[in-house]
Amino acid sequence: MLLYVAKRLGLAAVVIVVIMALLGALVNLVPGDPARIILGPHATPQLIAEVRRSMGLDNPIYVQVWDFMWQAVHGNLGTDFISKASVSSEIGAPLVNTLILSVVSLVLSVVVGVPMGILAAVRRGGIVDALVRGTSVVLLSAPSYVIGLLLLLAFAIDVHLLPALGSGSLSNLGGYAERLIMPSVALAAFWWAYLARLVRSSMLEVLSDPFVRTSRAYGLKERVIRYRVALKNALVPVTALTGLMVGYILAGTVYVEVIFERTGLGNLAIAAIGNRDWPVVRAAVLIYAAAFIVGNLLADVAYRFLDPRLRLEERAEVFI
Amino acid sequence: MPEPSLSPMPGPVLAIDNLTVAYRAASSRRLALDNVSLALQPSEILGIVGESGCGKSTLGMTILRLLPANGHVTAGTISLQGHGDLAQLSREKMRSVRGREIAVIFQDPTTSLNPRLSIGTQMLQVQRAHAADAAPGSGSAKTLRDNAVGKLTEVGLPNAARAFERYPHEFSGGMRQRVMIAMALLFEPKVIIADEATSALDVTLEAQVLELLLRLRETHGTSLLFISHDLGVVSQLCDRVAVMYAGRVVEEIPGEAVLATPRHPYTQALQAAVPNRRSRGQRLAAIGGSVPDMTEPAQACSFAPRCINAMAICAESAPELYPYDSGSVRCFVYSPSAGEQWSQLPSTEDWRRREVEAVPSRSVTQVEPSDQPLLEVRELMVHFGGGGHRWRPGRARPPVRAVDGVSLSLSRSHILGIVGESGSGKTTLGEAVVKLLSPTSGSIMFAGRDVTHMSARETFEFRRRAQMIFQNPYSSLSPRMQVGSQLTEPYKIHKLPQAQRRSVEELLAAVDLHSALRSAYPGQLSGGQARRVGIARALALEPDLVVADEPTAGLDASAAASTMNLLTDLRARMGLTVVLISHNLSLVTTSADEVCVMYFGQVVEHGDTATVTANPAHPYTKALLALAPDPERSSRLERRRLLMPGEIPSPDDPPTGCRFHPRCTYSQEICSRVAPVLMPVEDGADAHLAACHFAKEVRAGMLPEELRPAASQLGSTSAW
Ligand code: SF4
Ligand code: SF4
Repeated sequence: MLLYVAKRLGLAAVVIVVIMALLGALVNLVPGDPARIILGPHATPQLIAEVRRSMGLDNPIYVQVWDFMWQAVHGNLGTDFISKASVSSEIGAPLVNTLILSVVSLVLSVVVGVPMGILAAVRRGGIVDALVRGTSVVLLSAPSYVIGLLLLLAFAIDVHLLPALGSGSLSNLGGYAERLIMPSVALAAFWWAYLARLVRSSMLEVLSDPFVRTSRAYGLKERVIRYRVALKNALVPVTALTGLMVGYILAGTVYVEVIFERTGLGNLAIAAIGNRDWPVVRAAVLIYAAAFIVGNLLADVAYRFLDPRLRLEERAEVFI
Repeated sequence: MPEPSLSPMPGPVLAIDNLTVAYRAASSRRLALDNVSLALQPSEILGIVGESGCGKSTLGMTILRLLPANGHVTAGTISLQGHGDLAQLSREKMRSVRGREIAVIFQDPTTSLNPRLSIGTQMLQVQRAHAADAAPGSGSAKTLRDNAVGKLTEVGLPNAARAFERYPHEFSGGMRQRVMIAMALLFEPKVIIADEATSALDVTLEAQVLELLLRLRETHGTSLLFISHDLGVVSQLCDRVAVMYAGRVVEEIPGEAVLATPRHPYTQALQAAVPNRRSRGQRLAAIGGSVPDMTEPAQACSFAPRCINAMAICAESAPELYPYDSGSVRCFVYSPSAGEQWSQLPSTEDWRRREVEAVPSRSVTQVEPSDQPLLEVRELMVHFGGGGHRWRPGRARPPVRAVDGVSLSLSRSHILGIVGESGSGKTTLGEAVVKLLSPTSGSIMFAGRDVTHMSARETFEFRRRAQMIFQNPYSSLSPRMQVGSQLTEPYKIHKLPQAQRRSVEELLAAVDLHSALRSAYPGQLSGGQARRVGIARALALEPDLVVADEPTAGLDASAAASTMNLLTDLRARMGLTVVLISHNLSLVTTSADEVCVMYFGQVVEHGDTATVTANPAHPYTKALLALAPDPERSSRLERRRLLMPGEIPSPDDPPTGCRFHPRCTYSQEICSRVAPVLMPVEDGADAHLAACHFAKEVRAGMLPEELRPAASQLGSTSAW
């Protein structure tokens, strides 16, 4: 198991290094001279050359790549072309907002989606089951920005139940939390549907497994069978999915931040792309990629941990 | 006769009276059990035997009140001593009976245990489930654990305390079934239901588990309801046997009489289909037809359509259970009123005779065997994995030697049987022969050409001439393709000219299937039919060689018998050469010309079938033969003496010297040091080979005890 974790960590590190290298070279790969974009169409060639030098753009690509990586490892993600502030300090506050939104959405997805699935499986064929399955079909086909807009219409514009826009500030926790509700629901709704379906089918599958029959034949209580014996086995595919969820939710935050006008990495990145503000774009992409990789890593390790057949693979001999 | 009992509650532990169970489907109803009455006496082993679809498993599940949602008890009662009618118990009360008073052992221990919990946790779960019913003070974690570990020790798990912490996948199949039995013993229940408890095990492990069950009955006085499709196993274990057919009990008979003097034509038919010592070299008799689906209580003998002894009366009214000898039989032959219509009692021979008489009518084109062997395998090795560990050279693992130096040759239109337990390498050998695996070293010559060094073109051609019949017919057929197109698919792959193709009808007829099946999908076929389609597909290209891997696995006795007969017929008709791979020695000996017994990747005995079965020269073969059911005498005693301890050892750690020595009853000091080589048992006669230092003595019929005093000189002479 330890060896496995070490291997996976090593692999993740390699992937991050490759991504950093690509990002370092990115400026040279896209059309348009960044210096000219910053300085505008009327800049003199000398001025442009000077800006290029100060940005390190006159170095050979491998030097640029190396510089970027070296700096990034030390927490320095470069300097904003436009505001001239350090990217790391600029990105801090929006990043926290985005992370909070993502984590809240992730947790919300699981705590609602999984019980929905269990309920549907246990009440198979009943009204609850039909309801869950019906809702799932609707939610699965609605992207997060559609749900976001509908929520805005329903609760903020028609009813004024919740504050519509912005992300609030952490110093006012109540307001901050209120402003999290709609965006995180918009992000989680898809996963409620997806998880409900997944858990339902995997639960039903496990409940028809021979070892569940054994549990019944040995007089285990139905409650124990459902929630201890079957559920543990049924949740394994869900852990395998966590990596995917992290990715999708992170991607979703971009839409949601735009719709709800939240400060966050997504909005920052979009603005930076508009401005060809490469250092900021680079930093944002790097953070997204890192989060994605970490999510997948955790999912893989958890999956393996939950399956004793894989967990114990390295215990040298098969017993007896 | 038992002495007058002092116990306050005499009578059966479990009494089933007039039980009728029906399954309801969308528009129809199917009777799974029709008016079944049985009584299980204290510490009795009662066998329930019959083909699949006869209601055996339904009976077990009904007793536990665990029928699927569409199953209903429509009449009758099941009473457990001390509880009365189980149907009257509250759900909670019934739950507390399960596992505590009635425990079950299921067929497949691999799927019947939770793969994600250690067996200790699972045993604790069961004990906690009944905490409320247990004696006060017995629920402490330590006592529960001690109880579980005690039971694990009792069923023969080495180092039970350690085993308690382990997960199911860490045990071998045989050990896992022992774990299941330990679980059944946790509360020392009155009744244990064993539902095909040994069917998934190899013969030697099966024998061990049967021994264990017998011992447990002696020590705990548990009553056992032993459900099985295997007449031989039932006859060895059970005190009394109830034969079921189409939801009814058709015969009740003492265990030892099941093979010796079966009364009911159905029991006789089953016996004729099961290979045993007497049937060697003979065709097995298939019953023909299948178990009918009953929708109404029987108005006639439900076996009548398949019965060779049927008379007019059999279709007019339903026979009762008539007492006969020490049992009872549901057949008019034994009825006091109608019995005279039959001039003589039915017998197993009737079925055999019919089978033999049926043969000559088929056209037989004898192909004379040529001297050139069709297949010649020399020093074949197939190793898996192994090699150095990339980062930690110290942890280098030895390769698994699945096939380790096998040589054999096979003449055209011969049938070679390869026998061995799982893990013996027999399937790997078969796959290497048809080039599904490439060997690590050694050569395979097919019709004079080396299979291991073939160009892509030659390989393509070779695949046409050598076919494999896979163990699981369903997984080797595509579920979404009609049978007809699956059969002709090989023609398309090999782009055979029209003239060389045979029609679907011809192919189906060759394996005795009705041409209507051409438009069926594999899911609609029975096990036996699917197997036949698999064979027909393999035969479509008219190969010279067919490798059949466990062609009867999972089939009922009758379907298995007709599959075996089919292979023999095809050999006679088309001159087919067959490599028949099976774990069942008796089965192989019914049709193979030569037998090759494998153990741990090596051939331990090879010879023609008659010689090997009459005078086995290797202790392993001898033990396998002794485990085969024998109708002539109860073979419990001999079986006990030759019963092999242990299982095939872990493949990455072969024992030193003779690989069989840890399990060999004949083993002497020399065996753990010097590996015997495969050589002729008689000097000069190279048709019978064995790899044992004491082959001559074993062949001469010496028993292990007799070998000991003489061992010192004999061992030294034959080894060097
Ligand atoms: S009653 Fe008739 S049909 Fe039924 S088993 Fe007896 S002889 Fe055969
Ligand atoms: S060599 Fe020894 S251990 Fe091996 S089979 Fe013969 S007697 Fe048994």
